[in-house]
Amino acid sequence: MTRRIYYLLVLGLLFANLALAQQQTRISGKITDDQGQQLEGATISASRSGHVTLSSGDGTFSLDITKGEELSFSLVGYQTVKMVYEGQQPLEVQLMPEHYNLDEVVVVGYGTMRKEKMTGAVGSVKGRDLENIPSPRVDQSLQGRVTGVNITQVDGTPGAPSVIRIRGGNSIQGSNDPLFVIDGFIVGSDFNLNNLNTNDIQSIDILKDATAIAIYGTRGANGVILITTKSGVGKAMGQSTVAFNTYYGIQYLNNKVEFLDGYQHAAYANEDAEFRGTTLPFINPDAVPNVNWVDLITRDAPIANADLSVSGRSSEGKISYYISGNYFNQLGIIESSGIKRYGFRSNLNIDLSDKLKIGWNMNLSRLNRDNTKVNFSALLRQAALTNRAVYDDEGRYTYENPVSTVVTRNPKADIDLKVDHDLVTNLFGSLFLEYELFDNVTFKSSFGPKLNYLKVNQYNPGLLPQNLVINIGGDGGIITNSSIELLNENLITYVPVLGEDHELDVLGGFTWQTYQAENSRAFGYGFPNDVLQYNSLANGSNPIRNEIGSDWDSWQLVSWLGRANYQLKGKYLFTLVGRVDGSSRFSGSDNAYGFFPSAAVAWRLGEERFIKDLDVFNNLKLRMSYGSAGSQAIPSYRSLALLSDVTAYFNDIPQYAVQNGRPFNNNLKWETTNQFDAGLEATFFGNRLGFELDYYDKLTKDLLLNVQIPRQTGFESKLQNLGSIRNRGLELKINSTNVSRPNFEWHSVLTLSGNRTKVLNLGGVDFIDVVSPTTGPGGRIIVGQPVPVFVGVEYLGTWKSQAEIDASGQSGQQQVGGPRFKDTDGDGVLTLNDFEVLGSAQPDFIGGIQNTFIYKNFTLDVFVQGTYGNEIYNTLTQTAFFGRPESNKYRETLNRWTPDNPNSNIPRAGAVATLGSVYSNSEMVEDGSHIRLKTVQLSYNLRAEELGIKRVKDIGVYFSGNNLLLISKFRLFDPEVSSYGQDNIAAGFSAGEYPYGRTLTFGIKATF
Amino acid sequence: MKNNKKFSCLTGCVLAIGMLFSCDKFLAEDPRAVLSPENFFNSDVEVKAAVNGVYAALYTDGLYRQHGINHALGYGADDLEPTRSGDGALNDICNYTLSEARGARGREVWISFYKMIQDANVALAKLENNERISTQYKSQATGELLFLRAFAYYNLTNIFGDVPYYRENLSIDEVQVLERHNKNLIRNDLIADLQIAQDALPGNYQTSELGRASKWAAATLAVKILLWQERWVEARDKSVEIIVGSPHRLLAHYGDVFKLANAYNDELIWCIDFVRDINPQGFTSIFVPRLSDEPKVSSQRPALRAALEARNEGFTGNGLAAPMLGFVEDFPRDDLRRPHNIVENYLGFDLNYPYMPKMWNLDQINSPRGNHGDNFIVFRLADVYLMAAEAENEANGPDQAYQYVNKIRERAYAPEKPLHGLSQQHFRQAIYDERRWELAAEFHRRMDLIRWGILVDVVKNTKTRTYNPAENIMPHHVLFPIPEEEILLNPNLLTTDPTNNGYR
Repeated sequence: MTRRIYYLLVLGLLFANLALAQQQTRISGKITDDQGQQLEGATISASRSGHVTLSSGDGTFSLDITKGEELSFSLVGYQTVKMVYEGQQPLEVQLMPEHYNLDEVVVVGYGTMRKEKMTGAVGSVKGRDLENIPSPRVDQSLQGRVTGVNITQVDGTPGAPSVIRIRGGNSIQGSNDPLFVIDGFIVGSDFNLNNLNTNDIQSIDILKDATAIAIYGTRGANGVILITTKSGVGKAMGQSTVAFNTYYGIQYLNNKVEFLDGYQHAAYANEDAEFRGTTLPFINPDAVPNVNWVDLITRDAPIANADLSVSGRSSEGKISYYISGNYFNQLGIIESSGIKRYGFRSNLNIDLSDKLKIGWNMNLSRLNRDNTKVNFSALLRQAALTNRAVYDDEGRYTYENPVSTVVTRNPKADIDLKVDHDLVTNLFGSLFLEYELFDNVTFKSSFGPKLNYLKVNQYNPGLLPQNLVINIGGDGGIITNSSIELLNENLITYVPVLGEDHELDVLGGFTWQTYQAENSRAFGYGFPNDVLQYNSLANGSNPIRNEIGSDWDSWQLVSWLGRANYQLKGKYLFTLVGRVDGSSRFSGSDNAYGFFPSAAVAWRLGEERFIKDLDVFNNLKLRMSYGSAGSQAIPSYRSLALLSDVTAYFNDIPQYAVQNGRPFNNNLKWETTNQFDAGLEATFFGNRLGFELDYYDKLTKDLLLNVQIPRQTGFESKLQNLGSIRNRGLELKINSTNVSRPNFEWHSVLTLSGNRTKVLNLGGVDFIDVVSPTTGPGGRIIVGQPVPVFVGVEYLGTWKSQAEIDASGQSGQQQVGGPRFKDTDGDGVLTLNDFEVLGSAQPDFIGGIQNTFIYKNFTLDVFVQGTYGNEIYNTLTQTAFFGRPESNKYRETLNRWTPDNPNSNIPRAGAVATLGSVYSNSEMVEDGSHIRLKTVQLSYNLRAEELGIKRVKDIGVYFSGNNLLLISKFRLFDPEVSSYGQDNIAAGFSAGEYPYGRTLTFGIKATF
Repeated sequence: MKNNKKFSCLTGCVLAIGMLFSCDKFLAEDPRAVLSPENFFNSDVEVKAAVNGVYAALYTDGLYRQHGINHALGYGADDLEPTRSGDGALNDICNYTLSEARGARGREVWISFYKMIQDANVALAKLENNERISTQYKSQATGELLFLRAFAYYNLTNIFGDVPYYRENLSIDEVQVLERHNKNLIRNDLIADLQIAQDALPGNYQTSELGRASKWAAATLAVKILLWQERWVEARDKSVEIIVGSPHRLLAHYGDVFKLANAYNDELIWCIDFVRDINPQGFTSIFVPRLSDEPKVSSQRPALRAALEARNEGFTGNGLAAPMLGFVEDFPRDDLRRPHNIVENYLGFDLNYPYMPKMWNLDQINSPRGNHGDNFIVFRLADVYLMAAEAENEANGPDQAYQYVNKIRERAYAPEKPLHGLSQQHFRQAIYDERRWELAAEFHRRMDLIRWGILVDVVKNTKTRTYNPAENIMPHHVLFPIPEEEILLNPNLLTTDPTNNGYR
């Protein structure tokens, strides 16, 4: 790989430096945009002679020039192209629209479109916003930049995915993740974005409304994220550019949780025992250890990245290429975690003739991920008790919690000794062939694989204190998963010439896709020593405990799709889209095929004379769409009954056994989302101010729900199509160029979105409990409410007197200084009937504001992002605030109730005998609203030419800071977490997740 | 327009190619790792796997792994109580604050037993007229399935009274609307099923199959149901049949019955098999003390710890289940079973609480915390002797009943203290006591007291340390409420009894 890049690099340098005879020739050429539209009025200037000309109405020009002279092509609203004239004739130059121009091109499903001609709602992120984000994945960089898209990181683990919800979640049991499409290749909604080098990405377009997503049929309902990688198409002919880019940064632990220190905790635990009349855990509370475990297992962690790419076009423009190599290495803030990537990309387009084009896009990556060895939330809660010593007197890792004396993992030992890493090798991409069958009719066929191989290696040494104490030896295992996905798409486009007032393009296609995955796992136990680890599982000396397993998964899809865009007089736009999908998942039923149609209209008001006459708008467009998209929502084989394998034991010998796993249902069908969208786009003041406003209303019906059935049937639930959910929302995006002077520019982009989810029907039940992280359900889906809501009893502070307890009528063990909860129904006992809705993870608004200041060669980007009105459920509060002496306590419990501090609303030590009495309650629900200074970047670009550096086109340096400041009231590290990961509906829970870093980076970019 | 035509033609071609593509075949699912119940039950081995699956349901936390079922069977009587108060299920049964919403793990029991019933029904239906199964194995499998299903219904009727009842492989639509069925009718069916099972099952198993139900397990379960139905003569005959006909015998020493090293000893009729590391149970930990509670003089804790460690032992449990205060006071001091049921000093250290050594296992190597391989003993011969004595006394008075109870007392006293000369009522009382000492904490007690109709009286008159159940217990507490969630899912469960066993 490296050698290939080297050759290309040499080649590129040769092209750039050929000094040829200085002989003036008259050249002619043509300037077009990326859509092939001829551009009028572009300036063409020659560097040495100073000759200048403008392109005419058909985009053509002619100019006298010397070989080797540099030509510059510029036009307002387009990126300037410079190239060295090497004798090409005629010169064909494409100018790409500028970032801040509204006339931009957006990628839509199976094609591209000018934004002005769109009838649907699509959000785009391009250029610098995607560059050099200090993360292995691109999803976080979309946060706050596109309206209607709510992106929440789950935790700070290097490479951790984000939860992405486009216009709210449609499904309860099914996936709500959007579909990812990379260079036209459908990679699915569970694609591991770590495989993609973020610096290979040219643009990201997010399809939101019904007509935009309907072309993806059954997989479009959650929105579609189209990622386009860089290519050589549109580059100046005969030139190649070598770009080198590197950054290095340090991540610092951002916020800390304040706990009682070791002495304070010992005092708490003794106070607890004293009150409950049990023996004191600490005979001398002043002589206990005092350990800051979080400091001990975290570090200032480096992050580094280097890319090298070569891109360009052959001298006749027949071959365009982009090749890149990437190395990324991020160490985690928690010791011994991190992710490394080696990436390679090759995009190639070859025009074999005027009619036939072929090419490929290929991405190859290798990930090496060190998984987090500690359970961070368990550590905060109990394992890393501040008065637990790391080592005992003899220097061995301690193995128990000093208060409960229960054997508890030692986080430091986990960090030092455990082995746990993932190795991923991933290849995806497609080969394509495009043939112009007749004038205006093009056939395109593409075929591509997605191959993924995952291996997980794990080993827990016998030296881990919890293993050592029972002398059980080490244990280790491996997991492998290899999958292959194939996609073939066959498309015909027809763009007839219909005269001035009519524009039509029609697309039809047939596609099929298959997926097959095999996985296996093997675990061995009782390793007599820790030498061979997972490399030789046969060393596990306890064969009866050894585990083996394997599994198989597969699915297939076939689809027919069609789309027609019609434009009348450049003002009235119409779109019709339809897709028929057939899915293997429903092949056991009569509903294997689903049809998802949609339609849209738009009216370019700005083109009407009466608006033009107002001389206010540069662009004004109204658009509306309605249609449906589907979701398969279920994994493979779910319509089939199955026997699950279990094990029975006779005289300690395992025997094979089966149980009825789940009932069959051959009436299953797709979930369907019908969506209405109305949008208004306007720009004013010479395109200096633009805004885009969208309203949408989505109704998802036939929700695939595992409906609880009476357990007397022997089954827990049966999968059925029941229930519906509605999402409505408003999205606003404002672009403005506040200042535009020759030496100073200031641009701003503001996004603001609000989504309201409401459960309309749950198939006959009033609610479904989602998760119960504390006592009683904490997350619930309730008809009439968002998904999910936090439920529990209301915390009213402490009992202040016995009289207060007696007057309340509450029975059970209520004591003065103990926690008081609201007995909502007044029956004297706290039960689930007293549960109320306490909040929801759904923000009222999310948004972001980007400001870009350009002064001469300096650029300053400042990006702020935030949410407002969401709550977060903090499960750590159950132990850290309410009780149990074996768990860490918030620092605020210093001010707990004591006979001397009788007005405190923090429960007294010992009042909570069992956590079972601390129901899910309002103290656990906190305000999740926050504002984050997400990015500040200062860059300095210098034209190498100006510095007299030869062979170098551009050099830029930058400093950037990520996640610099967080304004939030949340007790733990960061409110932007999800302890249930990407779980569909259990959003907004926190148990103390892997913390985030504040990242400072320094980078250099250079092109040659 | 020429191109239009060509376009239509081509689109047609592409779509036609798409159509030609055999979609239905292409879309067919290929569930290579999914076992379908439709294609199963073709051989002895497959049927055995299904039978094993019914046994495996017994391991659930709600039944035996974490003692869920013993909230209904073990606690709330006069032998066990927690050492400290808490909340939740244990509180609700020990303090008798049971309600529809607080069902003391009743729903878990309900779920697990109906899982067994449904799986057994499917397997029994698949066995019927199945030519591919050998006659010999078909008989054993039928016997095991009938036994396991009877065991499930037996417990369900004991705990909930009338319950939904079905014996065939019915569709979900049919089963989910079933009402409660009269428990006496169910029990009479069970007695008949168990006779079939007893006739079909072997009397003992080879070593690798120990833990399966034998004909004697079926007979013992039948005796227990016969006692509920007060069919005394049949109960006596069946228990005598076991005592005489089975290979089971009483061990010479009471304490030996419960040792992990002595699993599947001759006295045990049926156990649920747990295995350290691979099928571990957690209930033994409930009986193991926790070091932070002990010893009485807390400054001696390091010494106690050292003494335990020297024996590879540890107080690593949660010490929740302890002999009840009244039990400690009432247990005869000269009874040789007392030190196995009550310990107040260990290794020379006085303890804060009494514990029950026959149920604990302090061995940190073979039975570490939460990873115990000690089997759960469901039936043992001593129980059968006492049932024989009880049945005979109820049928004919004590004369012929002494032989059975005194057999148990032989190993309980030295010198022996046989019972004699009692009236029928006194003998009955003696059996009440004898079962309390012999079978303490073996999770027969609460059902015995309910069967005898004396639960409320006994609870009101037994001293407790932690809770005050005497104040709360009500006559309707002899049954658990049908779980609230089940009523919501199937309102027909209220048809026969709108009060839900008196709880609403």
